[in-house]
Amino acid sequence: MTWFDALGLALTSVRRRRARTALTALGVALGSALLVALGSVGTAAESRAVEHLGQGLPVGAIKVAPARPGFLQLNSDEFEGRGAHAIDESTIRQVRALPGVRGVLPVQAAPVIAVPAAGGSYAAVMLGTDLAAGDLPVTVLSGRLPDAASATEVAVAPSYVARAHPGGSPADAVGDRLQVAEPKVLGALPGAPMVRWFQATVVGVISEQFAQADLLVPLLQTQAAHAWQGVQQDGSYDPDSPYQQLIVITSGLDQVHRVRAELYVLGYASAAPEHVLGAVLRYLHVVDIVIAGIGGIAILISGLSVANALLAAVRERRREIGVMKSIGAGDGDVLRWFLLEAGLIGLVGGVAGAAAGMAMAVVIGLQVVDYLTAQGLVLDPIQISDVPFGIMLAGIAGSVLVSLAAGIAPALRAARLPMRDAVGGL
Amino acid sequence: MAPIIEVLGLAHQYRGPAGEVPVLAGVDLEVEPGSFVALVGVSGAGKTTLLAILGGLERPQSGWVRVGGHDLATLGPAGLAAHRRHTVGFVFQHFGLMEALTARENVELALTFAGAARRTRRARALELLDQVGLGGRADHLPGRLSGGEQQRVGIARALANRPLVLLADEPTGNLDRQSGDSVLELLESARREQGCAVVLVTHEEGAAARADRVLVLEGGRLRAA
Repeated sequence: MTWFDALGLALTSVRRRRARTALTALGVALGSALLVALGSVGTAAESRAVEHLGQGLPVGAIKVAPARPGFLQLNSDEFEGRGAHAIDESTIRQVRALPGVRGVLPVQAAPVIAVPAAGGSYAAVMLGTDLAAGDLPVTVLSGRLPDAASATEVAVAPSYVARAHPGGSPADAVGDRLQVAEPKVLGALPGAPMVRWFQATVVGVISEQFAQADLLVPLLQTQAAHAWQGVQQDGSYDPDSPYQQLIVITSGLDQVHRVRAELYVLGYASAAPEHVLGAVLRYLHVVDIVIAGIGGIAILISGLSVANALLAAVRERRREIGVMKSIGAGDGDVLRWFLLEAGLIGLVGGVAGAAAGMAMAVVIGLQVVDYLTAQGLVLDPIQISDVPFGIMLAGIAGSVLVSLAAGIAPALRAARLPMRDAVGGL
Repeated sequence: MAPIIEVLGLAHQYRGPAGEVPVLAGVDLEVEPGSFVALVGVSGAGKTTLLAILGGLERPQSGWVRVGGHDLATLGPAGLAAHRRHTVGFVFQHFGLMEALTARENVELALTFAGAARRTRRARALELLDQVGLGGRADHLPGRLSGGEQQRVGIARALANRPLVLLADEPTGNLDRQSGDSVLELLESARREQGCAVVLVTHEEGAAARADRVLVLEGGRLRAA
């Protein structure tokens, strides 16, 4: 009998003994579900922690300020500046050339007054950046980002939606007309400040996480604003700096410290949650180990249920095994049949368990988010798409492998049954 | 014509709680191809043991057993499995059908172990089920068939690989007279059409009367009735 024939026989056997298959597979599914759910929650917790601590920037992002670094800069996650140091085009080129750097986003800021068409005006920070860059760390809630070459398109933060469309959704703001006023350096001309206006169209709504921007525009818009307004005084940072910040995207968390050290040598203060993130990730790694242990035990228990069910099946099908041998089956044929049956049960249970585990992860995630929201933290809930493919695959493959392993003893027992005893009536 | 079954001085014993229990003590037997032999005897006389040894389910402990030209004592596990696949066909009192497989699949199983191609075995299984009058019930599970029908499926399966010898262990033991008669007729027609020898173990005089030769197993030896 070929493996293919044995698979057909095992499939038929599993299909026609639905109740037993379902019950045995249920045991496997519970183990697999637990593994997938715990693994997914653990992974999602890790990514949410990284996301939260990264303040919306991608993993491994570093903010660079137009200031020289303090002596203890590399021991701190925050900016430790000691004097101005302009960020200009040559800085961008130098940083781009650093090893471990995947991208550099220059950021310009300009204070403006936003006047929605619906009325009411508010002071806002308009940020300009290179909108043509790939991997832009901006979450678009609705619509799209402004065109990199447009002088009239803006993306707004949810604060605009709250003002212009109270109770509305981000989609309501897309297409709005908006007046943006750029006042000339305050205090320079006592009395009525001079103002430059431009009319914009809202093309998208973005998360506020991107450097706390109220309005996001192409660089050319903020460059025009700077040319009109003059340079803003900003504490210890370089008031003459063409850019107010650089966002440096490294190729991974493990590169952050190295790149920050290079930035230190270049003479720039930087900020990145590397120390706090490292501590959190160490704790989460311990949680991962515990979760893997619990999941592993669950899978082993499900393996025992498969072994138990198959041993019962061998006892029950003693006569069938004897008959199979009497019509020409070898020990290997019987072994293959029982092993494949075990594997199939593992596969059915593993797939069902992985699906249930994903659902469990989403439900657990919702409960956690509800709790954290009540505690004042805002986190995205876990989505099905957050469940790592690797964990799902591990749940299914683990179920199949454990079931196969659990099936070895019963399969060997079936294969070695003395024929005469097995046939019974003969 | 050379005998299809040759047994000389076959002895066999079982280990019981009180020690060794001799079952066969010097059995001599010759069966010609295409002949019909009935084995009778009281319960525990060793009829089924003799059948199991002829079918390669058990190894002879001493003596000489040759079936279809093969000395069974010299065959290894793979050789015995091949012997069961190609040389003999078993018909059981309890029918021996796989409950999870349909009538057709049960017949196909014997062909699968013999290495027949999928398409060939399906056609052959349907042909055999037609021959035993169950062409219309090929897709029924054993639980949906009567005892007589199940035994006919068992015979179809036993004939699947065109064996040289059919070994039937009380095939009518669980059937009413009418079904039993039809099963015996099938065995006879298999002998006629395929030319296989039939060795029938039975307690029923009527069944034994259909055989060419009736042998009584008594005291571990065979004698003519």
